[in-house]
Amino acid sequence: MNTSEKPEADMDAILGHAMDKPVPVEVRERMHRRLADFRERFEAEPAPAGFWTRLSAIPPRAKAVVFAATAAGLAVAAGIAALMIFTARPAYALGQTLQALKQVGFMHVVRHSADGTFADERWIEIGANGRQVRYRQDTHSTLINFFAVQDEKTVLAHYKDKNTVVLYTPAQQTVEWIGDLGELFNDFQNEGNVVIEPNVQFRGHRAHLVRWLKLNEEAYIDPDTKLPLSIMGYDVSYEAPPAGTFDIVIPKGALVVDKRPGAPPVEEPQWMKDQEAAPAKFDEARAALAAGDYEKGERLCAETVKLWPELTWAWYWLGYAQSKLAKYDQAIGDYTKVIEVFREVCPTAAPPHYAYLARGLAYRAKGMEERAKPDLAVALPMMIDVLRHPEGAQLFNMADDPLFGKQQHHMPTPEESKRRMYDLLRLATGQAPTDATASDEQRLVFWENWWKVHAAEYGVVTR
Amino acid sequence: MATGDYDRVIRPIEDRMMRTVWHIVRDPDDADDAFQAALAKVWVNRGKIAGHANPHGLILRICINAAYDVLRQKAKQRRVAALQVLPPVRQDSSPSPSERLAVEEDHLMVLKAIGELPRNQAEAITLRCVEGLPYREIGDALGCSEVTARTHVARARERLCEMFPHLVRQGMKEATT
Repeated sequence: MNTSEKPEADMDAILGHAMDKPVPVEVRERMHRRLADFRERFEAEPAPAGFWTRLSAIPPRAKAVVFAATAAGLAVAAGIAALMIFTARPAYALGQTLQALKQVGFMHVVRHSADGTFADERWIEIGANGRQVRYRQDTHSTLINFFAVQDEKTVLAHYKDKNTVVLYTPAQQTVEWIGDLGELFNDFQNEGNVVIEPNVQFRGHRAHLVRWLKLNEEAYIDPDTKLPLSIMGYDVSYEAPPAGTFDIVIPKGALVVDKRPGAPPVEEPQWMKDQEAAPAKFDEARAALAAGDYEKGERLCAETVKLWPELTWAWYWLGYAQSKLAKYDQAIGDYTKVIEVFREVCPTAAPPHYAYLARGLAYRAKGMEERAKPDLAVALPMMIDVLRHPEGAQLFNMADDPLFGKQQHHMPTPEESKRRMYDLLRLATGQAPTDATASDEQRLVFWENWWKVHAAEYGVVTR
Repeated sequence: MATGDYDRVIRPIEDRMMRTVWHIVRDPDDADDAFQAALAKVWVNRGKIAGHANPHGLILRICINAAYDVLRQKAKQRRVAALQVLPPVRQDSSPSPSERLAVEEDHLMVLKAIGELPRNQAEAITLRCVEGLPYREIGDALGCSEVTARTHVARARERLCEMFPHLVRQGMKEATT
């Protein structure tokens, strides 16, 4: 039989052909340099004795499912969500999604690591009101190694790297993925908060793509069940968890800090005291920056990140202060930290465009245009998109105002966000419409066309 | 750690690692990023690799995942522009300037589509069709049985055929004329 009579054989042939081209010399050379560094690392940092020698002798072992951890990524996102101000438009898919979510009993939320194991797994029991009843999270990365269970009475937070368990009541502290998912979707029905692209392909199936503008995040909705298949890069399913999933069990040997009312007082470890002290210091730093006292802001931000190294906004404002003080090398390092922490903590989430913009501008200030462009290439499409969807300016606005989100503090209107974005685009590109009286629509068209023409200069291939 | 160990474990598949990453991402900078990420992952997972039934398969699997992660990340960064600015891909757009370019674009589309498949299927079909690994070794690399590996590959093929029916029909036509 001719192999091409079977469509599957055709596909094999296409794949085989697609892979039969040689690796370009330039690429090969770069990879060889990486391998050389890698080899040096082996020599400099020996593995345990007999490590590699075991390779050929060890029999196959069962697939190990590693349940891994990361609290911060989505906590950051959820925290940002809490800052949102919503304004009004009905959206077809989301209303049905809200109803569908109220019918499910459990959510199983998973993000996989590169080796296919779980990097972050969460189980959420949802009550009839659409709110979380019980919760379990197991997350680990090089930055965060965290386990938590919450039932109706107790919250157990296990900081695995510190071998410390902290107990709270839900009234004192809650752990959650997106606390009130149904309500969050409800809010997203409001005008301008989402863009829905119906009937896209998601892993070979039809789905609705929902873009959440303010967080620059995405969800894919199953058109049949109306339930999310994926939210912010996490796979979501709705099966019941194994028995005991929400049991509160204190790991053997862990230091227990019981903060529940009536518990005997216990001395907190220093790292907990540091984390509790960090927000106040950070607030002080932001106030100094808002007042234009960059030296003080720099000092306080530096102290904050020492206390709480995963606080990405503290790294960002440290970079901001140092940029203002023309300490561009340090600022670039700080912005890089923001990007790295984001990538590490929540690799499936959208990148922090504001940090790429800031780092790109810092490179440019140093005259390193070749380093600036790749960063600006990440930020510019999002910035231009903000002109069409000003609600998407949320994170750029946060990165522009140290006091953003403070009570009584002015929140930019969509109109103000657009004006600010015109300034940022001019700053980032040196370009602007020549007609100063151009309408918003004309400016939007100008910038969209500009990107089509100039994307390649920034190393971006558009189709 | 003796240099000889590196030579024994990594060196024999250096070329395959490089080819795998390159053929998936097709961009020098992305290839560099993906390759570096893959090596970092190999280092972090060296304990797992040591005890694995098919260490070379696992290393290639790590390379495949690193490459697709870079592609996904890049796609995400560009999607904002693509949604508003760019014309629809392929079926609605005008034909490519030359047949050769069109074929190349088709291949790239298929490779990118693999990144959208469930991870096990993406890994399995890449190990099978690109690396030519036997199903037993694919099963070892994925930590599943040979039968399951076959199932992953078959499902991946089916999905790709569903996603690109025009390519399959084209392939049949070309092959029979």
